[in-house]
Amino acid sequence: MTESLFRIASAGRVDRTKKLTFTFNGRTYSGYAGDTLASALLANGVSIVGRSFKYHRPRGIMSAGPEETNAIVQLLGDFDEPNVVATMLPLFEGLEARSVNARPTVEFDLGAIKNLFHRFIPAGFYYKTFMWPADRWDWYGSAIRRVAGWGTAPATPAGGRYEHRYHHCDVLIVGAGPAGLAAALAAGRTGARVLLVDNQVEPGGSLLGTNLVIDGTAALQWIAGITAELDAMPDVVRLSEASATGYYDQNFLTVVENRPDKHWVRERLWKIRAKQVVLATGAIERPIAFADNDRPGVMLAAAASNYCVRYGVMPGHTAVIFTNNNGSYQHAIDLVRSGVAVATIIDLRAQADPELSAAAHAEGIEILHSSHISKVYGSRKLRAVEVVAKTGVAAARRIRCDLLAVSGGWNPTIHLFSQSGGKPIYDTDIASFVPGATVQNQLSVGACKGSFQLSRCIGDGLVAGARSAAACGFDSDDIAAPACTAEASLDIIPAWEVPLPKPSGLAFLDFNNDVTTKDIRLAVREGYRSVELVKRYTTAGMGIDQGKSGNVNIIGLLAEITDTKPGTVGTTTYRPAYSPISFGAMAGADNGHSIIPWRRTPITDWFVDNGGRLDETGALFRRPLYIAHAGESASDAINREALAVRNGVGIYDGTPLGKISVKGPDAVTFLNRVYTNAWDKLPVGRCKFGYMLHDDGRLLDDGVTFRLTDDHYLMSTGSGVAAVVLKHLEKLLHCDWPDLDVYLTPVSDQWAVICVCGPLARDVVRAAGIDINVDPESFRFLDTRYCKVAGIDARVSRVTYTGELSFEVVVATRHGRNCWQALLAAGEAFDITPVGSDTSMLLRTEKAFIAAGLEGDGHANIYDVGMGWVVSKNKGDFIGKRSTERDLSVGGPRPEVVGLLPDDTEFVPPKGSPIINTNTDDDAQKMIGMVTIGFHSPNLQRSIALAQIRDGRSRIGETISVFTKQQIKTAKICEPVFFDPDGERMRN
Amino acid sequence: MIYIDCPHCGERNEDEFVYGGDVAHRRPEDPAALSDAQWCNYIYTVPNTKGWAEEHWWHMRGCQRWITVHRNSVNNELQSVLREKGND
Repeated sequence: MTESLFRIASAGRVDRTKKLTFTFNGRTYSGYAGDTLASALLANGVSIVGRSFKYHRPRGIMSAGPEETNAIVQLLGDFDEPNVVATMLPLFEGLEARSVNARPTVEFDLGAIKNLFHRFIPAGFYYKTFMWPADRWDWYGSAIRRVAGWGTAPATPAGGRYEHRYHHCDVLIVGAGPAGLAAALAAGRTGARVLLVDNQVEPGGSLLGTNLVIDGTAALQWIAGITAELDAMPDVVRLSEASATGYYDQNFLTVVENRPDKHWVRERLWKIRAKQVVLATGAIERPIAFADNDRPGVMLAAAASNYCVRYGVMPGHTAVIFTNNNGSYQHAIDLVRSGVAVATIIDLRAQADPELSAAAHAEGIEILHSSHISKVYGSRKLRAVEVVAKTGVAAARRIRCDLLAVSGGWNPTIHLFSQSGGKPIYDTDIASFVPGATVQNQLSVGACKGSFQLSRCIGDGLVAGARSAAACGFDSDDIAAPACTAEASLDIIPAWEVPLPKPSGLAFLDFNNDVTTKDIRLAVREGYRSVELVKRYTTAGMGIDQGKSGNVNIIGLLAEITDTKPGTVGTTTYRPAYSPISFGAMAGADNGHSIIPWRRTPITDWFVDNGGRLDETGALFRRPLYIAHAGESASDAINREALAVRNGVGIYDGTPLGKISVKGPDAVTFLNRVYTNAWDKLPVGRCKFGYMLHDDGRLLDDGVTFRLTDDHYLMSTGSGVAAVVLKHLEKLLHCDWPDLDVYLTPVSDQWAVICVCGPLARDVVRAAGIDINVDPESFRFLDTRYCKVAGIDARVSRVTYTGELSFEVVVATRHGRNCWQALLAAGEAFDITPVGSDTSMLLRTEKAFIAAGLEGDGHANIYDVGMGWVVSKNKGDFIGKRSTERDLSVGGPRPEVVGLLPDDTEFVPPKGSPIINTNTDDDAQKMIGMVTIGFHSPNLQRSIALAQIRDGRSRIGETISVFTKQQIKTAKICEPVFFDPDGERMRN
Repeated sequence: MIYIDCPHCGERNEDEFVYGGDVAHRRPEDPAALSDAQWCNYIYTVPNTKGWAEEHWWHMRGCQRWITVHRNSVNNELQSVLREKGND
């Protein structure tokens, strides 16, 4: 078995009693509990884990953390998910994954042919090449995406459950490395409410991959001690596998917890509000750009030793270290002690810390100063490297190795700090960016502040934890900082790149998006200087890893090329999310039915049980479009219902209608100002149609308002706009007219509305035992009366949405279903027919009653829709008056609502179809309007439509053409009201 | 997401509220007295202040009252949150 070649006997934190089987790119391997997918792949000697984005070069595992650029996989099976970072994915039994960017396989990728032509596809190539002809853009787009592209979106719903959770705490600590643990301990001991989040499986951060000593014992014991103490504190919550992804205003942070409590919730998005935040997010090692620095076998130095120490896996058997700082010496020593043969440390600097040098020599490691890598041998697996002296005096030397551990220094993880609004500043001591002034209630400690020594991390962490708790009013005794292994300072010299041996070589800065040093130079040559523009032109830092390891190198190189300082170049903007968030986590439990909850009326269930074809309509209501009998088609049902309303009697559920109670001594003044017509003369017990405008003169809502008592009105609004109208009216009362004594109460849900309509409607309400006289003389059109219907307290009104004799019965919601059934029973003798909203729409079209959003759109004013009669000339200002008057004074062609009678009486003009005037040769005059709605009217036995046509009313009688996708049909423009133009039926 | 200290309900998350425009963008007292250009300017040129501004907000998912929020649009700092006059 190959595993034994790379596993180190008894080292690491994996559980060797729990063997796990997994599949990668179709082959089955095994690993242990405690492995990540990345460590298990290394343990199995899998050197190629993916192909690069643009050139399809073979790539191996590069890091051991969230900064991974190459080992990005697609999870398969029940947990299908694209773009999962293998270094952060804990191994589980049965895990199935594949590389995201390789065709057909990682071992043999046809796309790699592009590697031979890389000089022809530099940065900006796609922008420059695929511009012409414009009508090919769609084709280019899909073709390029097919060859580029990361993972595939899963075809089936995500397995597992997702949820959101709110959390409030005194102190939030991000990162459970040495600094974060110390801060949590200090804050926790004060009794403050503490939340400690960390993106690893277990706490400890960088300590898990080192052999450092704290208080005379192994660091791991110190971690275990603190973790046990924290877990025993009742007010401390500790999350692992939880990545802080965003830092927003007022200390609001989002954290995505992965697979908490083993699969029953797959991901949980925490929304956290913290009084104080301590960022202990650590630092990320960065590579150095040299020729072919992306070959499988080239790895970050800390990651290499991390795999040995933490996972008991050797990433290679013979290693060479390439560095520009003191940090890598300890990593080299750790590699040797783990059994990796370390031949050489290649150090760009002229000298290193003497103690570290001596320790390395004692392990038998050769050190070459003032040297760098010039060449890498082996394209699919590292075989050797070539070293040259910086001065070039000594001859190049070839060293055999299968692991090249590289360190170009460390970048503090300042992402969250920057998202909080802080500006990073360049620190020459560590040749990277550190947090500048804090802008929120927040402290940065440890490596993310540029303090890399363990003793400072812990000491600063303790202080930050205590200070943050004290800021929330919690005090306690100081905690003494423990003694730690002494560490030399980094003593780094900046090294963004080393010279290429030949000009055609490729040295990568952004491995994720295949951006090389040449691309940056090209961008500068083409005039891009700003780091934000260079980023967008070259796509550097725009991949899945968001440049966690590569960005500072790009900034450094850009500074070098443009002869300035990295601090002057500055960083690009750090935006959420720090690490990718799945759509599942964003949606939480809001999926399927719960993403758009249904609003129900008391009658919805009756429709469900009786053949109602429910569909989503305004304001989340599901209303019946029609109520089909067995075997009936949609159009059959609508025709039957429409004929019943015109010739017999129908019954309609109008409950979704918005209802706002308007009360107070100034109510009538208020109505005068928000509606276009005058309300002074409306008596109690009567109602009136009103048209409500925006101040720009366009329709906001229309509906009937009832006067119930002297100072109490009830306004009806459209279902969909009820909330919008309330907001509009409340704003006027609260902000613009505070002197008006008027109170609004939304009562839409309090009342059920049942409309009985048709020539036989009067007989039905009588049969239902209405206890008032409903003779036409006693109960007139637009009257409203309190009464009893079928023994139920009701308010009945003579209002209509169909143009027929109608009785609108309003009862308390809890009586809605009873009242509906009673009216159905009373109407049985008259063959009463329940009707749906499609039928209602057909009936209003026959009557040309205006619908907001169709005829009353963002172009049409009140005159255009033929509602000029609703405008009062004799009252003062109202909302929308000024704009309406301006429309009149400016004049010009207006989009006017008219009727259409197609010459082919079976042709129903589809909603939105363009209307063309074929009688003119002037192209600009051809398109004159559009169809707003069309139906086949069973009452007229022909097709009809309403349309918005330029100066339509003066064109009545003309013939125009309606364009659809399939055909062009002629139609005659007519008066819009098709049925009962004088309205005798509704007044009956 | 910021906290807004609603004078009726107390401190609540921003997502309970709806922004309702700049207080300085007042509806003219007498629209009829304005020229077409002045009126169109009121309707279509909406202030978008950088820095401190008084703003109308509606506590839609709370008390449904309109309030005045004094906010710095650069960094979301809040100075005061007051009732609107018409709330009493």
